[in-house]
Amino acid sequence: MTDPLYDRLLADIDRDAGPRGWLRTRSTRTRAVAMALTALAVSGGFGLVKAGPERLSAHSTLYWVGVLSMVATLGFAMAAMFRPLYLPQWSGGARRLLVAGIGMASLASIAMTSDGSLGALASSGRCLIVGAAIGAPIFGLALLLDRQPRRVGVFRALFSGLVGVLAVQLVCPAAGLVHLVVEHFGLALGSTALFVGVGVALERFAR
Amino acid sequence: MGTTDEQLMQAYVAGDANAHRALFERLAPVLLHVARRQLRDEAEAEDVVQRAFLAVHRARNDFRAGAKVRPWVFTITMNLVRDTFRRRKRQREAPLELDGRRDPSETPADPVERQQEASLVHRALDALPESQRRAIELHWLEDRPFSEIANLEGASVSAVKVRAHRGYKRMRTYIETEKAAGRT
Repeated sequence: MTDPLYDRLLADIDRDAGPRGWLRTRSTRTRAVAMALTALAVSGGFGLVKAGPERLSAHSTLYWVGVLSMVATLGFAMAAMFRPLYLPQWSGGARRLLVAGIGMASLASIAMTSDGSLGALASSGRCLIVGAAIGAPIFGLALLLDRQPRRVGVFRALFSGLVGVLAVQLVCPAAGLVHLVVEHFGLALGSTALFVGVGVALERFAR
Repeated sequence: MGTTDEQLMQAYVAGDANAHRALFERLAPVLLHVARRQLRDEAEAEDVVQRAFLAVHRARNDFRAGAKVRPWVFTITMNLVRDTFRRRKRQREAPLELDGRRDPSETPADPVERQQEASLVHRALDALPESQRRAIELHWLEDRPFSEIANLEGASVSAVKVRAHRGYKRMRTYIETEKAAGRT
């Protein structure tokens, strides 16, 4: 009874054998470090190149507390994203609570980078486009590193979206609260929804 | 003294294909039994076991010396069973044969009556919240100790005991109510 099953398993393992398979079989710690370094390099590098060290160093302490708390929030999202399958799964309620917590923490982090004024909306959609464009390759890498790529992956989507937000936070000159909440937090929500949509499509395709 | 699961796993991580096959032959029947019990669908149970071993293959570099293989593989399987349930988004429907490990004192002698009793017990089990049902199935039907169930569920031993206790209580009430209403 188990022989045909074993043959099917071997076929699965053979299909898994390329570079993607090699990436997925790296230990959880290795994959997490690779993901974290890439995310920080992309968002930090983008910030450094686009805003320049002079403008970045002119920011207030509160601004940097906001940026650091966004990095910590990213850390939580990444830990949830890489939670191995051999650990007990969280219940649906716990997962929803964690998603809500990460969302609230990112909103607070974004708000902390404000200059204290409400400001104008100053929206051209640029922050949304740039943020989503930065989140997309991160999402692609997260898919490659994911041992269960064909799943909805809310935490994967959240993480990728928030990397885009972090990059935009470092570069965007608008510091009014309205712009930050509408456009930057909107970017977090929108890109998460977009990447969740891709996850749903992949999951349906796999069925 | 035969080779332990852990020795086989370490050999497999080191690249020994025979150790992989031996580990599969040793664990797959146990996992299939568990998956069949939970899912009540042969094809889905086989699919879960296949995916579980693929997950083991992908996660083999996470396996640490000194860790136990069975709880590790069993947790993967249970998580995939839950994924399958989530995907189905519906309650199980298929009837289930009674397991031979039940308390014989509770089993009626008449086969028809026994079948009715089995059906009633399974309806009672199905009516439980998922966490209570899992605790009872693992403890009662799979004969697993509470310490192991706690490990699998990621909960404390006392929490798992409370779930099982509450589940048994609810099942008893359900069965009494159904019997009183003549719905056996």
